[in-house]
Amino acid sequence: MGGEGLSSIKFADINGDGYPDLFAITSKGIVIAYNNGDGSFGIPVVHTLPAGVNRLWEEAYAATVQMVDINGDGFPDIVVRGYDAVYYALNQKDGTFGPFTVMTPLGGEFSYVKGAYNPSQYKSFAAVNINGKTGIVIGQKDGIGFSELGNVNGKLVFHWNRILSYSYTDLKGWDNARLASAMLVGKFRDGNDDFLLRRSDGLYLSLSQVGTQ
Amino acid sequence: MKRLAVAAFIAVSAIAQSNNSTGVQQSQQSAAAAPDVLRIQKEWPPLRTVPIPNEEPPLKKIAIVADDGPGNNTISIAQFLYANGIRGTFCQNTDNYFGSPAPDPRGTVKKAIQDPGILETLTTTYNHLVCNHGASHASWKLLSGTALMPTTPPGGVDLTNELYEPQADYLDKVQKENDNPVLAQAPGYGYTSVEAGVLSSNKETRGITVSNKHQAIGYGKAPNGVVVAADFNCAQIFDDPQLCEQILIAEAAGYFETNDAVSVTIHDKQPYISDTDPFPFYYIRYAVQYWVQSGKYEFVPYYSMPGVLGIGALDPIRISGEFGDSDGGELVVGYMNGNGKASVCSARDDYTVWCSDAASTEDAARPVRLLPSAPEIRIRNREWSEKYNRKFWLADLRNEGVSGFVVPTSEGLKFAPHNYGRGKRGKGAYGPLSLVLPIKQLAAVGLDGGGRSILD
Repeated sequence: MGGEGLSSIKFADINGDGYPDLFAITSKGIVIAYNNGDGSFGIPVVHTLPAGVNRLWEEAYAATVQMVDINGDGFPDIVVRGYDAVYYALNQKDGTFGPFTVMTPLGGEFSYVKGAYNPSQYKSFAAVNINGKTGIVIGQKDGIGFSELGNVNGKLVFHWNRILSYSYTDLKGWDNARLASAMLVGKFRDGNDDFLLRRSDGLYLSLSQVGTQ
Repeated sequence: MKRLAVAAFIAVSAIAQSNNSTGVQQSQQSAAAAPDVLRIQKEWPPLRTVPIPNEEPPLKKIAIVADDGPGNNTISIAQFLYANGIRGTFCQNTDNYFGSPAPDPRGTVKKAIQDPGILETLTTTYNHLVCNHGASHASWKLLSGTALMPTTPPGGVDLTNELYEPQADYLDKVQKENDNPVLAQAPGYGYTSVEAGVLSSNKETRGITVSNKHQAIGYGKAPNGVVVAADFNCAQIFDDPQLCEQILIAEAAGYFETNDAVSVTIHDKQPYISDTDPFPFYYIRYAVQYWVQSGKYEFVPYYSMPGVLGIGALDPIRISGEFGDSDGGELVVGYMNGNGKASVCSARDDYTVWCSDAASTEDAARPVRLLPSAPEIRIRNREWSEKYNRKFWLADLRNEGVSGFVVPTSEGLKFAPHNYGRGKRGKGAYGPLSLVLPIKQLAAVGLDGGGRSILD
């Protein structure tokens, strides 16, 4: 075992049986290994990536894969950054995924001007849920950017790109590369995702802020 | 006189050169005695890494919000903003409409619905946003805490359903058709925690809240630390658009000194002047031109401000002096306590895993060293530390409500369940590793064989 593909491994309950399954993207395609119900996995199966999915198999992009329920059906779907677009594939609820589709970025979200096409940003690409709003966060040049996942006329989109915090900027001692590469997401306080960052002098936590407090 | 000056210059230069050469000699003498100095300096603590800011500071953000329309200046303002690439937000009083006011506020409401062209022009033609500012601009302070529906407020005007009349729904519909978020902004910023709670719970994002990071011009700090955008309206004070412009710019500049983003609320319809007077358009135009030409600002839609659509993030708080840049390998977030709150773990230089709870905004708990029951991830295991760069995942593979450890080995992926505090070191220890996915099966699907570092 030499490491190839390891950075894209994710554990999520793909088939809805309550046990996390293994998911990864390698040069061979999408890899799924179902949990046997005791923590061990069955034989991994490869599903070929469709044509036109731009460089998704390269490790830098494959490592951005997120397993998140984007259509509200209770099953984790795939969201991943390719070279020139963000793709999604919906869970078919039978342990497989539908075709990879380009997520329409309304309003210029994840655009180059936001710093989001800089490869150093890939590591901060993360799915979050705050106050019932599901979206993707990314460390961008002016703070923590959040694009909400939505459904417009049956089409899944990113929209209403907004800044969750301006506190992580160069002027405040958080250089952009650090924000992009050292931001972790987790539910540190309640059911909402918060943001953890590492710096030379320790750990910093930025709690998500919801509604009217 | 000139000769004297030159002579003086030469004399001063000679003295300076003399001093410089003395300095060099002193330095050389110091270098000769360097060993003692260097030996002492070696005992100093290591330097910290200080982030170096980029040369170009980020642009300050401005959101332009126009309240109280529609009025006769609305389209002029909308056109001007659009021509400058600015996406404004027009918070509408749906009783308003083009033309003279009707005697019955309820009657004008219907006209706004019957003549909705203004809303569509704002959103479709000029790509702006519209938002609900109430039907008649009645203060929401008057409204009931449970239904926001007063019966007969002072003045005898029936303000029933000030917020939820059909025109409000129509306005929301226009927003949704244009894939804009549904927004509401309280008239006069009359906003209590009760009303804010009702708004946010009743209808999606009709409760518009703005975080402390997003200071507003003027006033408008609602309870619980929520800051709501405030008016800028100087028409009643000075009948001079350029003076108004200067005041507006000065007020905004004050907020920009300590804030990265400011929402500027102006008025496309003002009660103190005739609706046919272009005064609001003039002063808005002056101010916006100033901001555009200065090159220091970026215009953003209102909803892109932290907190406007109901979520944001608080300022970062240092929760631990441990797990800094040079303290351990990759940080991994997991759920180690069964309480749904995240912990953060890292494999430190002793090649064992340490975890810390970080659920509080106070100091995080000191990391706990987890007892390594498995030799695969113990100290001195070169395969894990060097070949796999201490890689591990935290996952609840047995659906027990708590994360265990998944680690790569030459035999395949192995899993160590959390052992619920039964380890020798008590809380946080984990059990022995067991193989959960053999190497042959991983290799068959491309998860092996590259030989590359996982950190490339």
